[in-house]
Formats: sequence, structure tokens, C-alpha cells
Amino acid sequence: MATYPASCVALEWPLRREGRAISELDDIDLLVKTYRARLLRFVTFSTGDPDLAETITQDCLLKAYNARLSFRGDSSVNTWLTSIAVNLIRDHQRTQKFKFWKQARATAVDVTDVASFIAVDCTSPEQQLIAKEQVAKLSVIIETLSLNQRTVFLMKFAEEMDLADISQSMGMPINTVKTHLHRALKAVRSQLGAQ
Amino acid sequence: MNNLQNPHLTEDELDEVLMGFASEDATLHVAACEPCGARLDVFRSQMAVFSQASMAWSDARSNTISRDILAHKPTRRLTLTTVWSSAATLMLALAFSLTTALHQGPRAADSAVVAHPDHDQSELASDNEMLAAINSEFGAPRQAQVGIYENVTAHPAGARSAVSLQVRN
Ligand SMILES: [Zn+2]
Repeated sequence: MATYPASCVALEWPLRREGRAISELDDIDLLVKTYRARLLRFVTFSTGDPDLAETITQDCLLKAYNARLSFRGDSSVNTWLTSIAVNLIRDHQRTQKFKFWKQARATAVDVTDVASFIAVDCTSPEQQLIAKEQVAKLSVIIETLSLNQRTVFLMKFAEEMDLADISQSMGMPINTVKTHLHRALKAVRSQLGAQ
Repeated sequence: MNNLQNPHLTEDELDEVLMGFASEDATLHVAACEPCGARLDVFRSQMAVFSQASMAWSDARSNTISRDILAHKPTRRLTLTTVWSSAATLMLALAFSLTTALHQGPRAADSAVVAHPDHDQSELASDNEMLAAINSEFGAPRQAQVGIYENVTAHPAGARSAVSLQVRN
């Protein structure tokens, strides 16, 4: 990578700023307000550890804010943030062999708690009960997937990202994303009893 | 599609429709075929309920976390080196205590077992030192690896600022 004197950066900075989502990345409150809950959900279900997910999400937002000058607008802010989160999750996964250090801190996703957040508008108590069971079941099934499968599955079906964005966030070729996604979907659908 | 006896989509074809890269034939079939559409709806409706509930849960949880991101201290990755160095420190401390106790003879060895204020103090200090080292590995800020998070496409302008960027942690 070439190095440039600071003056080049200073001259070029206002031009580059025009091409990216300035308001979102330069305003940390807006960044938190717009993206944190979504990131937190993604990291929580990717790691299966809500406490760790809070830390990773805060790390992710801080890193994004601090590195905002390197964001060139080639992808959406959401895709960029997701790629940072994926790298942080992978960092964590590399230390999983030291579970004895982590066990004292680890918490599991309380699927009953998540299920209690179903929308209750216009549904009967029976339907709500079924919906709660579905949410709890799906949460448990997602946890059985491998990290790559789980991550691409959440990106596609919970975050509703397209394959190109998933490929960019994961740093994987699209065909590899398709393979992980297909395996994940097959496993989820078969466990849901759809097949 | 399976065959003439079963004109509906296979499970793999249904998966491809859900993933968004099905063939045109499969897409047209699903649009016109109620049984195949219903099979897709089973997954879609369950996923929709999950998405809604998990997002509401996450929203509520997010609201309990500090909004002051700049005050957040990034976690430091616990590396193999740091774990081994902490373990090695502990082993050395134990070996030193044992050797000292044995060299000082039976009476000294006895006194090593019996509580002794000075010994307790040094042991406590040693333990605290080790715990502080471990805590700092868990909690100390580190230099962010900005390069990892750069977008993939090469861009001279971005390259310039990435080089000059110092992350404030
Ligand atoms: Zn059909």
C-alpha cells in the first residue's frame, strides 16, 4: 500500500466525504440509533451469547466510528458494519479453544424471553402460543448450525441482505456463500418439519 | 421439477426459490402452484415471526446498553501467547514457593503450611499480579486493525486515508 503525506489526505478528504453516508458515520448517536439493535440481534444469534454480543456490538460500532474515514461507500453502511461484526465474531471464535476462561462469563440466549416479544396484535392466545413455540424452536435450530451456516442464514433470512452483500461481509465468493446457505436452509427446514 | 407423477418442485428447488437463485421455470411454477407455494409459506411465515420477535427483543435489549459508545473500552482478544504466559507465571510462582519451602527444612515447610502473615501477603500480591495481568488481557484497549475492515475494492483515495488513519481507542 502506498504512503502519502498528510497534506494529500487533508486535501482529498472533503471530496471523499461527499461520496459516502456522512451523516450516519459522523454522528455516533445516529449510528447507534440506526444500527445497534439490528447488529445486536445478528451478533447475538451468531454467537449464541447475548452478553458477549453486547460487547461485540459496542466494539463494532466504536471501530466503525473510529475507522469511518476508510469507508468509501462501495457498499452500504449496513454491509460494512456487518463485515466488521463478522471479523469480531471470528476473532472471538479463534479463542474458543480456551472455553475454560470464557465459561464464567458465558450466557445463553433465553429463547423463551425472545419468544415473549412476538407481536400480539390481532392474534388469538392459541396463535400466540404457536408463534412463541415457533420462535423458540427456530432459535434453537439456528444454534445447531455451524458458524458460517448460521451467519449467512441470519444475513439472508433475518437481515434480508442480498447474496452480493453477504459475500462482501463474509469475505467469501458467492458460490461458497450459496453452499453454506443451502446447507443451513436444508437443515433448518428439515428440523422445522417442513420437509 | 420431479417428474410426471409428481410435477411439483423438489426440496432443493424450493430451497433455491427461498434463497433467491431459482431457475425461471421453478419461479413460474411456484407462482402458479398452490401446494408448492404453501410449502414455501411454512418456512416464510415462521421466519417472519422469528424476525419480528427477535428484532423486538433486540430493540429492548439495545435500549438498556449505554449510548455512549466513545466511553466503551474495546475488548482485547485472549491469545494463545497471553494464556500460556499467564499459565507459565503461575507455574513459576508455585515452583518457587515449593522449592523455597523444601530448602528451608521441615520446620520451615511446616510454617509454609501454617498461616503466616508475611507469606500470605507475598502470595496475595503474586495472585493479584497474575489476576491483574489476566484482567488487562480481557479488558485493556488495543489498537484496532483498521485494514481488516476496509472495503474490498481497491481505491487509491481510500488507501491514502487508511494509511494515515490512527484509530482512537
Ligand atoms: Zn407445485
